[in-house]
Amino acid sequence: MKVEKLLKRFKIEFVKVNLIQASLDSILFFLTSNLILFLFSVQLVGSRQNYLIVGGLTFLFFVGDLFYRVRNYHLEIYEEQNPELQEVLRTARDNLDKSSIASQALFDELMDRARSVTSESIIPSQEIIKKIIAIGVLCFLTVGSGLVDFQLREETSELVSGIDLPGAGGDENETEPEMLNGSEILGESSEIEVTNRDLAFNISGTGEGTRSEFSFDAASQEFSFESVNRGEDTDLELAKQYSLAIKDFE
Amino acid sequence: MGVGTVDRASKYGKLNEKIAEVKEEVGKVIVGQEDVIDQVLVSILCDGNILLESNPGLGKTKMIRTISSVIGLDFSRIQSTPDLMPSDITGTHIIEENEKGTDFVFQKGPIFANMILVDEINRATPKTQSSLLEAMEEKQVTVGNQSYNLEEPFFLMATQNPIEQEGTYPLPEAQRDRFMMKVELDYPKTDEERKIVDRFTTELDFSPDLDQIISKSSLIRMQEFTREVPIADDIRDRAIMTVKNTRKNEHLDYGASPRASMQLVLAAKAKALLEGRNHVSTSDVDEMAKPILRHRIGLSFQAEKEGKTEDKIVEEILNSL
Repeated sequence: MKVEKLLKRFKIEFVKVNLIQASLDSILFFLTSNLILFLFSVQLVGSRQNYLIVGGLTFLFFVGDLFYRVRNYHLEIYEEQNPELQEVLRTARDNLDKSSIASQALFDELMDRARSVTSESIIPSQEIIKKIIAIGVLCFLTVGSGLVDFQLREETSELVSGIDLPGAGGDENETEPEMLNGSEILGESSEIEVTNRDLAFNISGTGEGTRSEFSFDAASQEFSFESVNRGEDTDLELAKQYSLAIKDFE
Repeated sequence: MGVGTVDRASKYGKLNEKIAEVKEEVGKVIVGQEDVIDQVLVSILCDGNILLESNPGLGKTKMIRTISSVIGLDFSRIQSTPDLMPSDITGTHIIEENEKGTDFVFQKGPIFANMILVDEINRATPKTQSSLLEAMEEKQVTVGNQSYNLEEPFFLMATQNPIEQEGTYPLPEAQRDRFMMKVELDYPKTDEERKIVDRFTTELDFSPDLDQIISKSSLIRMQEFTREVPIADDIRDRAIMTVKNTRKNEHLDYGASPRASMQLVLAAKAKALLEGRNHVSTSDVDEMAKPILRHRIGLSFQAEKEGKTEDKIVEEILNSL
């Protein structure tokens, strides 16, 4: 029946409008939570990233908000916004099963009047504009506080502690590498004693061989290096010059 | 727009036109009193009986006679007096002589008409008053061992004078409940009274030609149609709650019966029809609440002492909903 379709259409339009509302509410929720956690240096659960948890909570909030809004659906919303439909919609809804002349006349009249009714009439424009502005402000604050690294509390506190979530903390592969400064990497500086040592290099090139042998005699402090090279005379010559230069230097 | 739609719309449109024409014809005789005419028409559409209360000389009889003429109903008037007997109303068996001999034949009383005006009903004795009960509710009268059906449509309109109470027999609650509504006629406004004077003092016998707008059969169809007028559940519940709240109101000794709930919803439907609407509005229920309930509720002594009236109590109940 046409009227049933009309009433269905009204409900779908109502859900659409509330989908927008619930989305905006969720974005507000996410941004606000994220900003508060950042400003107060709150770590929600263990070493998990806050945005993942807040994201999850936001999704739950979105589902709950949408469900609540859709549950509160009533035709009177359309009647309030469209005075020409005052009491007609409710009467038609409550008399869908009737087929009398009066009921049919009512349905015909309703169809006629309802042509001009769209979801625009039930969109709370001002509310939506306010929410969009609030989202803009929150985005600005989030970006700003991140850039200047402004936090009301420097010390990080864990909101929910003692919860050993699977994969939280134990798995090295999933944890982010800690940022360390130079001293932490290299350790404490130490003085190095400089002593005279005899270093004897004996480099002999045969131009053959495929492997390199390197031996180090700790007792005599002699290094020997045998290189087998094929054909690179210039390199060998250069090596000789280097070794002679080292001897001269000593 | 389909053929069916056109048919329904035209039927509905014609019905509204007819009702408007009836009002117009009645207006040729009766000046003002639109609300009262509406209430009488509502009662006719609902197949209900009316208790008219007004001071003398306000044109009750004229109004009822005019309405019955416009809607093509046989009119009959009964003047109540303390010595009026039930048989004076219902009729009686008389001896009739014919070719075969003598026989008892039932001679119909004035109740055998479509529209009955019982003037000053509270002057009749309770016995006579109760003889009207069966006619009002069952649409039949019983004389001796035999019952006679009254012709449809049947309306009974009783009048009573609120001033003179001496030598009267107030209607018992059970009988008052049989009246669908109690209509109160008030004095006309100055300009209305001027029109009345002009209209009825310029001619020796002012009786304009009135057209019969609808027939008896179409009136019955209109009554059926009235019951089909759709009403929203919450508006129906408002009517029910209005009646229910009279039963627990501290200012009332007793409240209205479920019959009042039925008749309030029905009256609201008829009112919607008169207004040219195809659905009942909250305003229809509110407007009909006073005439439907005022004679069904009993003020407590305390309320009377405080100067409250039945209408005020109904208004308070409506405002509290």
